[in-house]
Amino acid sequence: MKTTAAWLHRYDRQLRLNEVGIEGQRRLTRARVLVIGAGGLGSPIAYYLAAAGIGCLGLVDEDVVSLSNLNRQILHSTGDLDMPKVDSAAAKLRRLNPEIEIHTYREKFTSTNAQDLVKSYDLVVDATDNLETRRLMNETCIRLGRPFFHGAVSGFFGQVMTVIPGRGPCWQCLVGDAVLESPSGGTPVLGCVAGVIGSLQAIQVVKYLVGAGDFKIGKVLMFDGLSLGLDELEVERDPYCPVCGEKLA
Amino acid sequence: MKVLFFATLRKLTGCKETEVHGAPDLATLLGQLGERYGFRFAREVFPGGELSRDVIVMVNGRAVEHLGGLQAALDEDDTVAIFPRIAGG
Repeated sequence: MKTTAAWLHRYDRQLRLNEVGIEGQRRLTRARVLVIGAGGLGSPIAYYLAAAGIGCLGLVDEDVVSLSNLNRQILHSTGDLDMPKVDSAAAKLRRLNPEIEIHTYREKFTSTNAQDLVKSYDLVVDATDNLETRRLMNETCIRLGRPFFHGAVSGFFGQVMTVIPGRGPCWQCLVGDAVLESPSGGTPVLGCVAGVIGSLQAIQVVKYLVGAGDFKIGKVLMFDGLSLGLDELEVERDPYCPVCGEKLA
Repeated sequence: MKVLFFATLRKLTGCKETEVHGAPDLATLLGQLGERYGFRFAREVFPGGELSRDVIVMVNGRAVEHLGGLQAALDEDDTVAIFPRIAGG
């Protein structure tokens, strides 16, 4: 593990944190993190994780950059229109931190590729825009024993939940097992709300990797950008949950 | 019992939480809340007398689907949370 002068200088402001230090930074450098979605949530998540020195970032997204993305997807610029999002994102992240590995997957996250993608990473961060993909991410992470960092936004609101397999409820315990149809058309989102939620997810990932603080297992954090507040809601592990339940039908 | 509202539902209720008494099951509770907060709340949460697919209702931290849905039994010391199913990213 290299601890060159440049490495020490780049991460100086977080190396000074007792919760990080040299050992914590080495953990971040050794970590492999898969971010599924390179849009509104994926932008702040990937930016901050790259800046923090996560050693290997995987980015999954099949879309290209469009003009209506740019109110919130700050990894992309007007000059990137029609470019694959993973390529646009990787270019910015490599400029930010050339010391880390970035792997891009220009494909949809499906039941066909889910296990292969997830099993080569330590944990998964939810940056997708639909319930169906979240269901598959959660299920794959529970099956493979990978921590899953959920986030979602709508308008001025958002939510964050950390799922550690075997240690509390999963995302499916939160949403139930009704048909998971996402609303049709684009979800209205204020860009900076995606920034808040993605940043909260990145904080939880870094804390998990360095082993600091409270992961909020068994809670969903609800952000309200209109009244400006963050509430915690208890979530119990559902014994009948179709993914992690002990009493599966 | 305590009823908590989150996200867009707060626009309809004008509050983050409220107290409701004398509702032995979820259907009765939602009926009382519909009377209190009006047609738009009722349409959002239980249109046509069915629980909306776009809304999550939890009783003491558990989604109501496996607790009996609208027939889920409620006690006076329960906490019910109601919030939209958020999908965007």
